[in-house]
Parts: sequence; C-alpha cells; structure tokens
Amino acid sequence: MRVFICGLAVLLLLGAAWAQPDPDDDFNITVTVTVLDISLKQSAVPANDFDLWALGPQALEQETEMTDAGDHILVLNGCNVPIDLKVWSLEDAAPACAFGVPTAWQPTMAVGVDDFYSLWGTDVSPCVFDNTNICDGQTLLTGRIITVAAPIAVGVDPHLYFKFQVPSGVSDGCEHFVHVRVVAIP
Amino acid sequence: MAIQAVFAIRVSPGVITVRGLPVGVDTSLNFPLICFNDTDDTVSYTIQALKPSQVKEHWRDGFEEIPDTSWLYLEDGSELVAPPNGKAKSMIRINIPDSEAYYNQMWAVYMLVTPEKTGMFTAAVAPLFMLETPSLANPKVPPAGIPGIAPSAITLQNDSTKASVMLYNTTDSVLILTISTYIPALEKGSAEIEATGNWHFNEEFKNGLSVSPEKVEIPPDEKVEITVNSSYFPEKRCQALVRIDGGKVIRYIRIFGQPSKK
Repeated sequence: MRVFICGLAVLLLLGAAWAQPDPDDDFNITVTVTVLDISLKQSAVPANDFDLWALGPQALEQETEMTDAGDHILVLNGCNVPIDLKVWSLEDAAPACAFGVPTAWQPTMAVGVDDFYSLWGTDVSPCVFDNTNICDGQTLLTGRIITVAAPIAVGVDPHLYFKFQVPSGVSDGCEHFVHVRVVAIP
Repeated sequence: MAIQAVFAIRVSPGVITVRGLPVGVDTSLNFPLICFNDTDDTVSYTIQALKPSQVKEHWRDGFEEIPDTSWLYLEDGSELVAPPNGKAKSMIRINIPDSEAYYNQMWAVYMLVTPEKTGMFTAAVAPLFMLETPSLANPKVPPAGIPGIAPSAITLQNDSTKASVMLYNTTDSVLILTISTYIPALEKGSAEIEATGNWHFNEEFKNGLSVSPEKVEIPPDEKVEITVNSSYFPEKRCQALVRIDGGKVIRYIRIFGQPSKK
C-alpha cells in the first residue's frame, strides 16, 4: 500500500510539472502605471495653485498672452509614464444677465465672426504667438481639443503658455467664462 | 457642501491591462477607480469613457478602439464625490455583448476624470484601459476588427511547433497586410503592449518564429489563413508577437512558447 501511495505522489508531481496553465484565457490584470497625477501651479510661485488668469475687462479682438516674464502655468508632473498634455475647451457657461440669454462662445482659428474666440497653447519658451508665423510647439485651439505638449517625459514639469483673443463681435454684453481642461493622457 | 477650485488631480490606476475578459457577462474587474482628494474641501469628479481617437491621434499599437464606450463603466455611476483629504472609489465593470465577434479582441479605452469645473483652467487626467477578450478559434461569425483575427493567441511547443491563424477582411475594400514577428521595446515606463503574466517576451523565441505568408491580400468579406511556426523553444515559458500591419491600426497575435520537453 505504501508503495502505491508513493507512486501516485510521484505521478502527481510529474503532472504538476507539465500542467502549464493555458495563458490564452486567464483573467488577469496588470497595472502598468499606478497613478496619474498633475498639478497646475503658478510659475513664479510654484507652491501656489494657478487659480486665476486675470484677464479682466477686455475689448473686442483684444489679445492677452502669458509670458516668461509674467506668470504662466507650471505643470507639476507626478506621472511615472510619458504623457501628452492636451487642452480641451468647454462650452462657455455664461449665466443670463440684463442683456438676456448669452450666446456661448466657440473656439476658432481666427476671430472674425461674432462669439468666436481664439486660444493658443504651447510649452515652448520664448514663443511669440502669431496667427501666421506659428513657432515650434505652438498649437491653436481650432476645435475642442489641442495638444500643447507631447510627449512629456517622466520627471519633467512642463511650462504652459496661453494666448487668448476676445471675439471680434459678441451677441450679448454678458460676462462670459471660458473653461479649459489641461488633461494628462498616457 | 463646499466645492473648491481644483488645480491638481491624482487618480488610480493610470494604465491598466485586463486580459481574459468574459464575453456576454456583465463583469466586475474587482478593481476600483480611485480619485484622491488632497484638498480641504469636498470635490466631485465626472468620469467619462472615451474612444482613443477622441483624445489622441496615436495610441498604443495593437489595440483597436472599443466599439462602444458604454461597455466600460463604474459601479457607482459617472460622478464620484470625495470627502476632504479623502478619496472616492468605485469598482470598474465591463459588459461586452454576447457575440463570438467579440472574442479575440484587444481594445483601448480612456476614462476621462475631471473635477468639477471652476476657474478657467482645470487639471484632468485620462487613465488608459487596455482590454483583451479570450482567444477563440473558428468563431461562428467573423471577429470584430480590421483585420478580424482568430485565434488572437496561440501556444506552441516542441511537439506542436506550428499553428494556423485566420485573418478576416471585415471591410468593403481589399485589405493588404504585411505580417512579421515582433516584441516591443522593453524600456521601463513604456506602456506599450504588455507580456501576459509570467510569459515574458523573449528575443530568441521571437527570432525562431516564422510566419507564412508574410504578405496577404484579402478581398472584402473573405479570409485567409496564415501559419506560425517556431524552431526554438527556451527553457522557460515565454512569449512573442506576430505583428500585422496594413489595417486601421497595428494588430498583434500573442504567441506563447512552452518550455522544451526533455
């Protein structure tokens, strides 16, 4: 009896050696990158959040841009994978005002139509924003999404600069808000 | 409830690959999406699954866009609320419709996570999900994808050194494909296609693989057979890929090599 049990044990061990799991259908999860982590900071004072781009009252077609000398956005990049930084504009969500229900502003390549604004973004410095002479890395928001920096290597904290141009004409005199997402995409 | 402007975002996971996803079964990945709130106020997050082409011009090779982003979702809905200095989490689920067309798939999906919009600029992230369904030879319907592939994974060993794979043209025009063996660059931090579990990519195994033919021309709605052959099997189990160029995106077939029997 003891011989039989020993023999069976050896056979089972041999079986285990050759019974490789079929990898094709295994349910399994591999986490390549644990966390995506970015922060928008004031370039001049990196400890502070970039909480406001104070454009203030603007004339029609007025252009305002971030510069190296002034404040721009420092992106603290805590991602451990190369990322692209994209900018998405969101629908302008202006509340109704004394002038009535506002018309949402839309992004465009060049202002010239009522309620269309322009937004440029880049991670290149110095960069002279110019509608016709686009410097390296500069992109213009023509739709709802643009790439402003790509690819950003692990450990690199990119600086972002934006230029904004007010529409050449507006349908209402209400206060408008343009919301922009800076999105890290692996 | 106070909602504060959010200029930082921290979300887990960042890049994840899930293999062996069941088809036709609403499945929890038993893995949560977590939004970490490092502020002193409550923050709400909106989560939206997006096709890769909605966020990038070029994403991971080998992965096609998921046909329908609604298949990937969070158990607790598309809005999560995190308490001050806390976190919000919800289990990730996937519900792939019951069709043999959805076996043999490698799909990419991004989940855009955005804090409530407040100021002009808001930080957001888009974790990447790479999803693979089980391999299935001889499906009853052509597999999804351009080209459709069946099976999407094969195992070779020294008493079974050869296997066939069918490539389906699911388009209405002629598909010209080139086929080669491949393993990805293995630099750290790269989120290129991952090896499966402990089946590590192996250069020698790749070099011992051959495919025939190396170029095919497939008329619309037809299929062709290719053969994968291995002349080398290492001591440990390993993996390489067959790479197919010419479709909408680069496609891969996983080739697993079993150790040599002595």
